[in-house]
Amino acid sequence: MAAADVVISFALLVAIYGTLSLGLNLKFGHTGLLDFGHVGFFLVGAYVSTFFVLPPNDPTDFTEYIIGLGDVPILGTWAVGALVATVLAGILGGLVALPTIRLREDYLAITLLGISVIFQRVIQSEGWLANGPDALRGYSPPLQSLFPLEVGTLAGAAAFGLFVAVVWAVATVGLSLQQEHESRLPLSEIYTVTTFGLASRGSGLFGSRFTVAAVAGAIAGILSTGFLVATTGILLIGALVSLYGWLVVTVEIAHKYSDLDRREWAVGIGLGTGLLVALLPLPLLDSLAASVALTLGLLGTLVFGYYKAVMSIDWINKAKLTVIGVGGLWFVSIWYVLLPIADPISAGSVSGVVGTLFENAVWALRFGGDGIGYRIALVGDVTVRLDYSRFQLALFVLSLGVLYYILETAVQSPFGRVLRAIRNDEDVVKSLGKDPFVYKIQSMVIGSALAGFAGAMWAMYSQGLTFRTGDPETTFIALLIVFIGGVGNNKGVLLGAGVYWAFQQATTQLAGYFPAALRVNVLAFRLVVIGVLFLIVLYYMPDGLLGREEYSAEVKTND
Amino acid sequence: MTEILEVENLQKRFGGITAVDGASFTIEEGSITGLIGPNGAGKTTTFNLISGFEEPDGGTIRFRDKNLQNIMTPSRDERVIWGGASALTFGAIGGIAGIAALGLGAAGTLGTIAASAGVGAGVYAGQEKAKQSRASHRNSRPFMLAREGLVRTFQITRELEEMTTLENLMLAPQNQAGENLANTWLRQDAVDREENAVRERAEEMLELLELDHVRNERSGNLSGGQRKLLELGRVLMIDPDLILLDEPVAGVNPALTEKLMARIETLREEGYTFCIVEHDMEVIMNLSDTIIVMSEGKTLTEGSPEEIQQNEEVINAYLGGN
Repeated sequence: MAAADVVISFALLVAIYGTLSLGLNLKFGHTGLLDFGHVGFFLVGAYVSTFFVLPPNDPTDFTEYIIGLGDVPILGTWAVGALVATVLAGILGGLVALPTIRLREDYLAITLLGISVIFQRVIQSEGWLANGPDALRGYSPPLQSLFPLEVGTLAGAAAFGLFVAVVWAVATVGLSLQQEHESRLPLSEIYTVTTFGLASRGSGLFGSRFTVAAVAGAIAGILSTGFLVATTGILLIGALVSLYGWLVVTVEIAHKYSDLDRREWAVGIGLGTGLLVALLPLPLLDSLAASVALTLGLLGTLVFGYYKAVMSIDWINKAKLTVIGVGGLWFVSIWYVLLPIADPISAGSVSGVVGTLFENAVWALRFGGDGIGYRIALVGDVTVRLDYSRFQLALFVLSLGVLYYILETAVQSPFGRVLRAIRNDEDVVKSLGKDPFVYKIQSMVIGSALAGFAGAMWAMYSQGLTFRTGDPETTFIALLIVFIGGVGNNKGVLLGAGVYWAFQQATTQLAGYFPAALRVNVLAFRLVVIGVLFLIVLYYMPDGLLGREEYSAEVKTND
Repeated sequence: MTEILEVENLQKRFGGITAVDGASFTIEEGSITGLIGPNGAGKTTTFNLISGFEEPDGGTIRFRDKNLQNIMTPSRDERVIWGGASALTFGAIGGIAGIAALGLGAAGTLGTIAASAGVGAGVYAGQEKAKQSRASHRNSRPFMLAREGLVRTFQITRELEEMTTLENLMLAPQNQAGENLANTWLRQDAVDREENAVRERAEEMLELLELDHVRNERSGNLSGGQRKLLELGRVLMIDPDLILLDEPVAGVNPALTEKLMARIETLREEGYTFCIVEHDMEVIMNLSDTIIVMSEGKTLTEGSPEEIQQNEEVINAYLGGN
């Protein structure tokens, strides 16, 4: 897998766990309801949506389940399945809340944990319901039948157009936030071009930057659909979209760290390089014991050095998180750009180096396999296609974006203000003539519905479900994500999901350097590390990376 | 003058202690009534009973000629709506289950729908029953009193620490369109417009209370006196008829106390009615039109500040018979 493909599968998981954790954040972060059973609604969402796309139960095979609506027209689609899963999880969340919501925080948590375990046990032990303890398989994710895409056909071109539209819209939102800042690049001109002139002309016509981005994305999607029906220039559009993405990412990072001194850069890059050096013994040394010992020693030295520096040097202490951010970015860049070309360099193949770089640069497309062939100077012959996981990512990001917008509207409104007031002091809310019960129930319903939708996403992603989907562990991962990003901060939750899965992906890659027999142990050991991470987060930064969101209650302007 | 609040033979027991034992008094509209008494006289419990935070064991409280218990018990219409909503919910689940049970054939479908309808009806009946019994959580609903115009502050200030001063005030107004989840999505313009109006009122209130310089400060960071002001401002944002103040000047410096008293005086002239529990005798004597003295859960006497100061019984109760 090219590095870009790893990033895509990472982003899929971030989208799923982001949605799940947004739900928990509404319950816990905004309303103060500690729901240890959040995963129960995730489980329900996953199974219910699957029932809608599974074919009718066939008694002769070994999979047994009660409902399979896959053959019914309209009803048996993912769209209906995900919708029903969301609504049902929401209703279930409300019903569970009715008797439990009056309990005090810790009792509520334990009770809800119990309820989620009941859900899991029912799935596990009732063989007729959803194949009991065995996996529920035999369905395919949404619209997978379109793949491999036939570029000349309208359906194939439209699927690609959807991908382009989503990436374009997301990148445009990012750019719109940046184009107001000073920059060496002509950002506002680029913004005018990528929004097809809408932004400068239609500030009255299209209210917020989100509307502008959505319309620009739609236009880009339609244009590329049309282009692909007529021609086979998938590489051209893919390269264009990738380039736009790179531009926005670069500008964002450059602006985020623009006020850093040279010495802070140096420390950050030193940290990133140090991490790389510490990991190098694993692939390079033959003796496992020696390499593990050396790596652990170097990692320990690195962490100790960082700790000492933070404790004793004032300016490092002030920038302690920033330098980790810089170091992480540096490490990721090396991993993304340099590591893949290490092999071709040592083989002395120039075209190999250029080809690998090109593949990772054009991240929007999957290289290799059967696709549309091109001959490019220096790179040689390549085949490209839009693979299914990129299309799925577009679907996920689209739904996550819509849900995020809906959720953010709710928590920024007077409704969200009441929720935060309940988290602070319920009696005050009562004394001010508002019924906390009603608001808590609504919070549980919306939060559970989000978990239900995340469950449906998980069903689409994993293409097979077991009762392990409902492990309480998942709740605590979501809780960790909420804590990493910042309790009560929706943006932070998405960041937290990113950090958590970056760690998971990195350690998975790392485990690849261990002998196969040890790999399972290494992966299991991660859970211990995550536990320690949880403690560190709670101890050193109880407010998370972004902290609680401050609601200044200023006049809303249409920006 | 008309009576806004009428308390008759109020009783409240906690285990073996009778905190309030037959207190009776009335509060005139547009007046400032002081409620005093030695520690343990049952003042705060009386406050909790009047504001609905505790349920009395006996006696009646009437606010504007309405029995408090009636205000706080859901009306029949509300019961029907709630019961109907739950019945509908179960019906809907039944419908989904019925569709899902297509595989079981027509009989199975009908059976499922019928069963769900049965469950729905059962829930409806159960809710009706629960509403009538005291066990229902929706029976104690102090928030209904604020909607009727009776609000309170707390003895130990309870500001919403993580929220800003401005947000604290903006929370208070009743029936904001944006508190309804559907409105936040479907009627954003109306919500924003109302929000701007509420913000304007809150800003005026901040200026009135001289808190405008800490408008965006977390209320947890405010000083004790500022918190007292904030609590007062918060209940004023509701535009209530009767305000119960539990020790409004405890822990407030003298200069600010003067200011607070002047503010309460002005507000009374604007038509608000106050009932104040306070240990600072100077404040209560200067501020009150009428003073009610409580002792051992009973109302000892009632009268103007001058009368109270001369009353033998009161002096005995306070000074333990000296």
